[in-house]
Amino acid sequence: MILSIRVFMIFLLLMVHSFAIFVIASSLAGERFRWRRYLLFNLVYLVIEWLQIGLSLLVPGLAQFGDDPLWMKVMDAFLIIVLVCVIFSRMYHVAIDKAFAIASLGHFLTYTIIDFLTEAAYFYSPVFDGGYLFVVTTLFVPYILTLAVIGGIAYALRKTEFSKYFSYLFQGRVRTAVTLVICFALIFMKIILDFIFSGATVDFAYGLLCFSLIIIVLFCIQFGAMYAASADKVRAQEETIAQQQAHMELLEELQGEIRAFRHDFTNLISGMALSAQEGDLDAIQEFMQRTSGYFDEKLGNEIKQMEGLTNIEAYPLRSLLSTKLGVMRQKRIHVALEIMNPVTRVKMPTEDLLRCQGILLDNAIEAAAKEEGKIRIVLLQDHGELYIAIANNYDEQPDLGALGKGNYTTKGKGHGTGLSSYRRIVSRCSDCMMRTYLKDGFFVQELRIPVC
Amino acid sequence: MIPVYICDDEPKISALLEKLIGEQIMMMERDMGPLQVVDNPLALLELQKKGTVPAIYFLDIDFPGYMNGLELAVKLREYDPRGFIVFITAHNDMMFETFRYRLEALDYIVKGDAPAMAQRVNACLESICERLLHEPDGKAAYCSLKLFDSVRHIPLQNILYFEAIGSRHTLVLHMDDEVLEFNSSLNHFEEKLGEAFWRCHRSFLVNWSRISNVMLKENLVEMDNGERCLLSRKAKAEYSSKMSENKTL
Repeated sequence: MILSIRVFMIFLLLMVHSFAIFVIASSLAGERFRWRRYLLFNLVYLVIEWLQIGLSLLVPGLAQFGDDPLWMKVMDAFLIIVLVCVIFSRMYHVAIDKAFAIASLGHFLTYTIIDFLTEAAYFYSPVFDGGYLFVVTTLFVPYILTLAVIGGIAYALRKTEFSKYFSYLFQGRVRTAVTLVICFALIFMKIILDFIFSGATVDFAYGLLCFSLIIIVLFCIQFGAMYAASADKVRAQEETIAQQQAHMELLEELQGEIRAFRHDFTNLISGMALSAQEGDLDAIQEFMQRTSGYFDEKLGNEIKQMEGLTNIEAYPLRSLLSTKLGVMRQKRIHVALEIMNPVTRVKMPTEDLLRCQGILLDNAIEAAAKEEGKIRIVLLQDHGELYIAIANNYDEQPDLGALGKGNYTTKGKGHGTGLSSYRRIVSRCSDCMMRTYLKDGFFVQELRIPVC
Repeated sequence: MIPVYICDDEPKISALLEKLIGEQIMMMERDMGPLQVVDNPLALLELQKKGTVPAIYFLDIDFPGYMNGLELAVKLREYDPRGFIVFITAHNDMMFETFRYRLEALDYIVKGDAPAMAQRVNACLESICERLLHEPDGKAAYCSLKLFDSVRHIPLQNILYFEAIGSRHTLVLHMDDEVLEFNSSLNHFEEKLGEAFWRCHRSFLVNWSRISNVMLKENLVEMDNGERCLLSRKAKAEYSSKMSENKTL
């Protein structure tokens, strides 16, 4: 065959390979397919592959009729996976463990499908005299079919929101480890199979085995992920119930206080009625002065807190806040909570927002002055951002410089616990801004998050 | 002179405030004025552009039919980020913490009897004077930061150093009593701030005037509050050559 046709065919096949890997990987990650990133990937991929082809051509005896030695296959797989990992972790900001899993799964899927289809085509294609037609039926057709199959899989992955389940596989160390080991095994699946059944004839049945393997693996992953997701859901629900209970307790407490207040108030009023009967204007005026602030003082704060809480429409955040308010009440810390506008969804994932908020509140509770502790919480959503400020007074002035360093938490004293993970979470969310400062005897933590 | 504005739609209150503030300025011989009164936010926003900044604003919280005090204050801050805002309110239970932190409002005055208000006005003006004393004069260099829809002006002398964190363009700005973390790049600030700052490491940009000690042996730069930044080999060489140059001169 003419060399140029040969080169063209290899080029085409490589393009299909890289496109398939990228499409699968991006739909596994649940990210949008971006042409520019794909082109970059494609370029590097082509370079790697051509280098390998060049290597096997230049070194005589390395490749025996298109069958590369084992180490070259391993290296090829390794390079591609590293490339996908780098692209996804750097450009899509996917965590490195997830990127690895995505890369190996994508690699596995693509290669298995291509293998199967070429085998099938080879098996079924009639024998022609001309080489060209043979090439078309055994290479061109299966590769085009590959594209269609990959497209179908990508569509299915997106439709079933596989990426969501997929990320459940990376929560917790054990799960991540198991997932990564499985992925690692998948990469070398074909190589291992080849190695074990080296004598097996490559035919249609073999391809069918590969294909059913993919389906089983995908099914297993989906099942595992769904199982993990449902376990998480149950735990989340349990947490919500606990937080609702805390909220109920707050309500009951408030009710108790209202009852006490009513009792007090009837006494006071009856006292005043007596002075009114006697026409003692001074006594009445004094009474008015004394009692005008009484209601606010007794119940104003609680009512204000409840009002603020009802303004939070993001339910998990509301229950978190009410739980923390309960803790503050127990510790006799005076709380000023102000939430003027309804708080809805923000750009940060809910779990991250909850963790940030929880860390800030816990820190404030821990650091607030032992005597007459005061905490101020402000949430304000307007102009496309959610503004959070949490301020506490303190006994000992915190060292802001040291606070920035990761090791501040390990210095004991319990102050600033979780601060490093707080910063990590915030830096993960783009366009957020955090500010820490001291003002008028208060240590203030500010966080501004764009609203979606 | 720092202009003072009063904005309240109740003539009685604004007249009372005008009298109280005028008296206080006279009595204590404060460097404030002229004192101007308007009855709606739009007029104030117009008036603000004509005067100098920073200015002092006494604002009502609610203006029926117009924007509320919070929105007005946000607009005022856009033009005058360093101004002093005091709110006037009819009731005690206003959301002052929100105003305090979001807008850095100074204080609030509850509408009520004149002596109590006079006391509060005096306290506000006193605290403004004190803040002005500590603040560098208008000629000092500032670094302006755009954060969300607002711009912040930070006096250069308050800045210790910038630190870049991670690979995602997160910058940490260390100041006296404040740490600010936001998305930006160190190169941007290195270009913008020029000579006054030194890129002593790939991820550190320090303020020359706040360095207390360059520890060549330990490869650290110590700032005057005791914080330490890393010193790269390249910057060390740069520093050494600069020092020897200075000696020969």
